[in-house]
Amino acid sequence: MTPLDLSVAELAATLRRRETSALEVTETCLAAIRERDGAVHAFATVTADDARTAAHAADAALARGDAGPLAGVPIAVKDLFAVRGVVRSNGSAACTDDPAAAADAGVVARLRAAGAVIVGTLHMHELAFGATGVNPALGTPANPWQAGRVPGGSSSGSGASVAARLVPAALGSDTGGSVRIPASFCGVTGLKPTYGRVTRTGMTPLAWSLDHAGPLARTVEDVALLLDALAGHDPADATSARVPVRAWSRALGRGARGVRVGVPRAFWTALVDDEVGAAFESALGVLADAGAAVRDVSIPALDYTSAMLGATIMAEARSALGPLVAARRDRIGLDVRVYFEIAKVVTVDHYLAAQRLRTLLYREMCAALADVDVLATPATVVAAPRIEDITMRVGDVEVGVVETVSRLTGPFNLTGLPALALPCGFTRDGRPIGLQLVGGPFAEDVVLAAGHAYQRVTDWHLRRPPA
Amino acid sequence: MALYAAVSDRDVLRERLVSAGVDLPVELIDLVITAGGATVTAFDGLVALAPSDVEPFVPARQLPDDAE
Repeated sequence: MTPLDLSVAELAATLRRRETSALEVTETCLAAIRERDGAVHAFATVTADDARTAAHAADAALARGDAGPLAGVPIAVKDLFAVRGVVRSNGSAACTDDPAAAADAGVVARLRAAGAVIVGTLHMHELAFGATGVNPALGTPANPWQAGRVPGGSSSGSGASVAARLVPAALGSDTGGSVRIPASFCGVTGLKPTYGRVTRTGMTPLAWSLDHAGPLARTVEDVALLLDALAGHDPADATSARVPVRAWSRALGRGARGVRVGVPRAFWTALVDDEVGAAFESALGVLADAGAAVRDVSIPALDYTSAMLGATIMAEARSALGPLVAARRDRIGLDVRVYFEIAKVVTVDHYLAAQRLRTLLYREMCAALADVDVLATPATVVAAPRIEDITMRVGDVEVGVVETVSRLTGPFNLTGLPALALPCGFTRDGRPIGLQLVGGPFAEDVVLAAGHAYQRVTDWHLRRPPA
Repeated sequence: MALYAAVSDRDVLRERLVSAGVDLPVELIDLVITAGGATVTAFDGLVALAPSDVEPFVPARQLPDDAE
């Protein structure tokens, strides 16, 4: 047993009891990265010296008794968040020669303020424009559960590093599922908070109306602890919401009894792998056995979400990143260049139609959530596909991997509602399967409590990948 | 109907790219046309579906207003 086998909550408590030191934990983490990341390939940059300095400061604060809630906990962040003194590559060879960041992203500053030790930045799908994590230029992180399978993206290194127990928690970003997809494929827990809940300053944008920052860790309790540190209004971010924050990690204990779970069955059953569907149905059974009331709900606008998401991402990404892609075209990967070429034919009519339909989708989801506390779906249609697959078979249908992987997560970027992915089973060949729980606007407390209740009676989140 | 069916998704995209003045690099032509044909047709479908009397969604405004 090493400190990296502990959850964030356990590790923070161990540090507060002074049973270990932040420096010892940090050295253990740096050694694990040094010894095992050659195989995992999760880290873009390791900030060893800064981490040791932060660990010393955390130990001093722990000794004084004024340490933050994450004091001494090692955390790594996706390589699209600015980290002072580190080059932000955004997963692209086009950015590896950029100057180092002069200041931390808002989320990084908040983690440091809570006492966390930032140990490095993590690989990702290029420019966050993809859901598999496959990155020919800078390398594809391994899926710790099965060689040759994608880790999921775009926060690929975030999912892989937590699953491989290189760090107990990581930060990712989520535009169409980029926290929840790697969480699902790598068997960890990931939260996309409500739009506006967590600041995006210092985070490279992909699509302004869809981008969210969020944590990945092994347990719901851990992502709640990170949300405690990350949430809150930031005047430097125009999209940051002025809404009350709370200590979500202390509001997890309400259990599943009486929780009303709504299942948009027509949507998720239209395209799903048999093993994923069976694991999801079992998860609903577990929630029902724990006292939840599970029933089907209807959200017809979900049928159009793939096109809504595509038109919105392409238009907004072209606006945000088009100049960069045009100026550095020779160093941009082929898949991203193809997206940006297609984006040139997205019209104002397409974009506005997508936004109008988003309003209808949001109304329908909120109407459903007036009668239930959370919505539940599988997190992804399939477990992790093979790295080389362009298409795959789901039931009797041959579908494209890229457009299918985000089918169940994307709708909740379109509406901005909080969505949690957590492990709920494995395929026969050992790949993790994810459950997704979604709440109303800023109802992270409801989503996290339901997820925590599920993890109290299951052990999927405690399983570890093969060595 | 027969006339419409003869115009494939890929042909539609090819025409749109020309209309937009997009000069595709040679190595991308097939990839873009293959990957994007159905995509653009699906985007056209959104225009037909979207009611004109519904306001476009603005998450930073809508969600805080609805927060409890």
